[in-house]
Amino acid sequence: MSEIVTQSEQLLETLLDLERSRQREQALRVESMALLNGLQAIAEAQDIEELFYVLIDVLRSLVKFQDAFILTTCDDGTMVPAVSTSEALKSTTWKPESLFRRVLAGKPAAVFDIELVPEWAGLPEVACKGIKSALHVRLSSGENAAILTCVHSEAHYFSPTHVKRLRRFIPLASQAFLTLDLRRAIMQRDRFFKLSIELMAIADFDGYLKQFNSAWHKTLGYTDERLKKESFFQLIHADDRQQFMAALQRQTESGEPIEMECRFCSSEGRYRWLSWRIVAYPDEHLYYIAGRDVTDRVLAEECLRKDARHDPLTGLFNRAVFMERLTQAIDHARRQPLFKFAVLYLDLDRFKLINDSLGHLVGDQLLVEVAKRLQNTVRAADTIARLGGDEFIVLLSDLGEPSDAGRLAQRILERLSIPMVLEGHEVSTSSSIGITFSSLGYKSGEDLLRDADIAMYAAKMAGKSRYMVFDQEMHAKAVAQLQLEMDIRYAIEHKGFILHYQPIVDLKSGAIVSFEALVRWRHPTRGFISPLEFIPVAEESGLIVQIGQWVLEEACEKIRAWRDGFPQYRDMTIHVNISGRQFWQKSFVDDVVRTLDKIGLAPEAIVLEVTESIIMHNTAEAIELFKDLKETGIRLYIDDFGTGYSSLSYLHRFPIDGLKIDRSFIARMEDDAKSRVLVNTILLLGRNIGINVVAEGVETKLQSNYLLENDCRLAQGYLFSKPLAAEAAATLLASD
Amino acid sequence: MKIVTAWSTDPEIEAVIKAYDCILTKLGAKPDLLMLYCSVSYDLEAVVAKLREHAPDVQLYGGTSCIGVMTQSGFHSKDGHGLAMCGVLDPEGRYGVGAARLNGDPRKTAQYAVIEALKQAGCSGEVPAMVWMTAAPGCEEALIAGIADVVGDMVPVTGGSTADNTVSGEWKQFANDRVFSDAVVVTVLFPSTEVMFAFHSGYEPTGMKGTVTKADGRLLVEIDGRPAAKVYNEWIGGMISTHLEKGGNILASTTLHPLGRVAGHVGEIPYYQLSHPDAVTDTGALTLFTHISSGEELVLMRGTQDSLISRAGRVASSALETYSSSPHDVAGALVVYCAGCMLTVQDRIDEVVDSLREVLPTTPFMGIFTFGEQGCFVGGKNHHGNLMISVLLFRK
Repeated sequence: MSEIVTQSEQLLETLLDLERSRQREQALRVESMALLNGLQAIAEAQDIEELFYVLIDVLRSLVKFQDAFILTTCDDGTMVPAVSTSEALKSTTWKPESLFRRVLAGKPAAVFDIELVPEWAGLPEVACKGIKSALHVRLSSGENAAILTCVHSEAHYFSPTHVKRLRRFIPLASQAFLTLDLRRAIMQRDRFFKLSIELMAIADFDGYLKQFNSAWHKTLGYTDERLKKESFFQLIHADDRQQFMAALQRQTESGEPIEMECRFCSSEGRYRWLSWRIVAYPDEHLYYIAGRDVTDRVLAEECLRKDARHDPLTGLFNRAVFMERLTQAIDHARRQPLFKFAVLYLDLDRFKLINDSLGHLVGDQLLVEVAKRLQNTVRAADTIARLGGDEFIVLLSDLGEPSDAGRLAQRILERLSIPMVLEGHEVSTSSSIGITFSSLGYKSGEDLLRDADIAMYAAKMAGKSRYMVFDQEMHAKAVAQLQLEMDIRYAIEHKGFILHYQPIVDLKSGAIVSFEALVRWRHPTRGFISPLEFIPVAEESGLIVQIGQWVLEEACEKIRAWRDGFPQYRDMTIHVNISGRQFWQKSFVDDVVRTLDKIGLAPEAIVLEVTESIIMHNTAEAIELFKDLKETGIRLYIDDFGTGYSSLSYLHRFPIDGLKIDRSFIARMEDDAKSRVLVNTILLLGRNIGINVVAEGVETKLQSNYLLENDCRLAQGYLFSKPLAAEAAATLLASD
Repeated sequence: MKIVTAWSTDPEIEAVIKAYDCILTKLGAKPDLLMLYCSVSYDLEAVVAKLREHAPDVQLYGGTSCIGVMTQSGFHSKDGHGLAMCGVLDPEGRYGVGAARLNGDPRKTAQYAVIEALKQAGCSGEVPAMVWMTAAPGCEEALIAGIADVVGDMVPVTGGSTADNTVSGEWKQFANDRVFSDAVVVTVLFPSTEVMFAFHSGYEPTGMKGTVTKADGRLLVEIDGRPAAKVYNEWIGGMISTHLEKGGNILASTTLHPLGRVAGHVGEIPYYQLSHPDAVTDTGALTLFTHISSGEELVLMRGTQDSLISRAGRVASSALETYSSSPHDVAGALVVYCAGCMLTVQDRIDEVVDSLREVLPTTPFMGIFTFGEQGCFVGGKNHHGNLMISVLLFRK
């Protein structure tokens, strides 16, 4: 009996299970049919409105709702209906709260009474009129979040069963929604593809283009037919193809996009430079290709590269290239002891004079001609560079004997000495050449260049138009000069200079009328150093300007003190030597005036002495400067007169107050008639143009008498007094 | 979705804390819903207060179960003490508990409870996936109607009425920190995954049948114009003859012979909603655990101990089949088993657990023994019945 009951009960339960399964299956069948019916239409929907109406048709076979709408997200986080079957709801704005947040998180929700839900409660009454129940499901999330809402006028209309049905349906709807976005994106991309001025294509792994845009035609001139027939790879320049293919192979393995440039054949057979960016998708056996015509840029870069390596004026290599090659040569020589080379450092003599006198155009033409002559003189394997200005350098590779370098240098000197006609001017030039050799074991190009420069400088010092080979003595001398320069700098900063004062006397009365301020340097370790030693270094380094300014101030201070301290000398003047660099400073006149003002000295108390060579450098400008100085009341003398290139004939053009006859003429005066004639001529000239003449270096009574006899009124020299320290000079004045 | 269970037969109040600690350990986090059922031997007010101290912001829900409880670990009752706990961790779901005392219109009471539960879940106005109900026995039909008034009658309602050991009214219910003896408590479930359920009677109709000619609520006065107890006694072969004169409790002897009413049909075959005769009144009427109305046709149903034992597993299996699921898809289960049936097969109760474990071998479940079961029949209608079993499965 028990068994029969159990079997009977099991039978009933089985039947019940079957019924429930049948019901479920039926529901699933309805859903499946709905999905199938809607699938095609959904997939073909072109816009959200079309999709929406297809969607709700499908959904209505599952859930009998009355109205529906799709809410989409706005920038401010609110949601608005993008499409709606209800006019009243179209203009509503929704603020997502807890319910929508859960729906957007993927949980469909049924609402049995919309009045209890904050999202609905925030809407105008008119929009909700006649609505009691709602069903919300997410169509998409993220920035483009969208919610599909179905509504019904009956409360409690929607059930968990509806939610379940929609939950199953939503992946399809969401996919349709995403597909819509995707389709739109593809359409937009397709438009860009067509619009792009870049070459875009998809090619198979053999290089045959499957898709390409019109830029291929515009850039390379190919027709569609030809592009389809020819492999992309075959259009790459043969010299670039192997490298390109290798890079492409590496990319295919690594998965990273490649970017490279190569020459690519146009339809006319000309090659253009194209920059490619290519990604391989091995699963698809496809390359995605983007290309850009960079021919103009590549050519411009080539020019720039050339510019970066060449001197634009002469076309020779520039310093950077030379140093590169020099470094290579040094390295090579280190590895191969038999390899020898030499460097010739060449500087044109008097180039500045030519440039200044005949103009920069001629100067430039001269440099070009020099470059040509150099190129025609050295071997093709040698390197010539212009370092700048009028400096050239030659690297003689694989040198046989050191004397070969000397012979070449001599040849260069000869070739450069041949006159050349530039802009109608016959111009002659010469050069000084310094030579150094790799055999000295250089480790750096800079050291080698430095020594060649030192040798060149030595050649210049030795009289120009010659070559000299570097030796260690030169180096030591250069180092010493550098040390001296550093010491001068130190002396300027630590007041290491002093002034001595040599009286200028009236030859008739023997009275002191003036002093010449002479700079002296008491070196802390070497004692007094001759101006002949340190002044050239100071001039070379430019430190002479600072020294000159100090001398001016110191001399002015002193003369003011003496004028104040010795009433009988209240009209006494002081002579101050002005260097060329100081004279040509733009602020020179202002500096002098400011110094006088600062010290409170009358301009008439100061006499500036400028050598002939300084003013002859640029006569016109010197005259203007002289005029400016004269206007302030300052007096001007030409120093060392007779030693320069000046012509007596135009001396009168300078507004000077006097000149000083160079001591060399005075010294030779007793034995040399020509010197006497010259001194007389200068004295006569002075009288004629009404300026003072001072004889320098008067050491004997005989000289003094001769000068006096020839109406020379002023003189200075050991006969009267050697240069004196300030205290001694003051004592001398006091004793008068 | 993660579900774990814990149990104890320790009579001390600390047992609940140990069980909760066990839940926390197994979940690795605070549960989103915690259900507790226990025998009436526990001081439920103290138990809930203690539990609330440790779980102040967890949705708590439960009541008393007849004699003990069961979990996947077995039947738990020792010297009348047994408690079981079921923790649900589902951060993406929503759960809310509500309660109201049955001191007026039960239908309205249920409305209040479910509205409160929705509010607690933060889902006012929204349709839950399921409503779980626990009430004092007596007016479950009205309570189901009240729930439907709020959320609609298509929302499945499942659960079981609280019970004691002797039908003496010691049952209790609780919701969060409130404990009642005469209330309905409901949990609205918005789980992040699907819920699956089945509701079966598992009895076979006999040829004995009659029509209710007089009834009053849960009092069956006459069948076919004759005293109901007398007719029923004839149908069951005089098993309650001794109670016809003086009346008395007949619950234990009628478990295998409930009265059935057709709840629907599967094809041509009817399925039944059962009423368990509880007692004979001194007027010869029968008291039931369900409402009954004049005009309804009653059929004598019959069952066996074997069918009661295997039923639990078969209902669980039915739930799986209905939703085309496998046991591996199930995160956890709640089982409502009629207390009357349990008392009938008490000596073989472990076999009931085995039947469930056979279907859900690795699934944690909690089972309670109730004086009335609620569930959703085929066709989606919610019913209250006796001698039924209701199974609720949570998909992973």
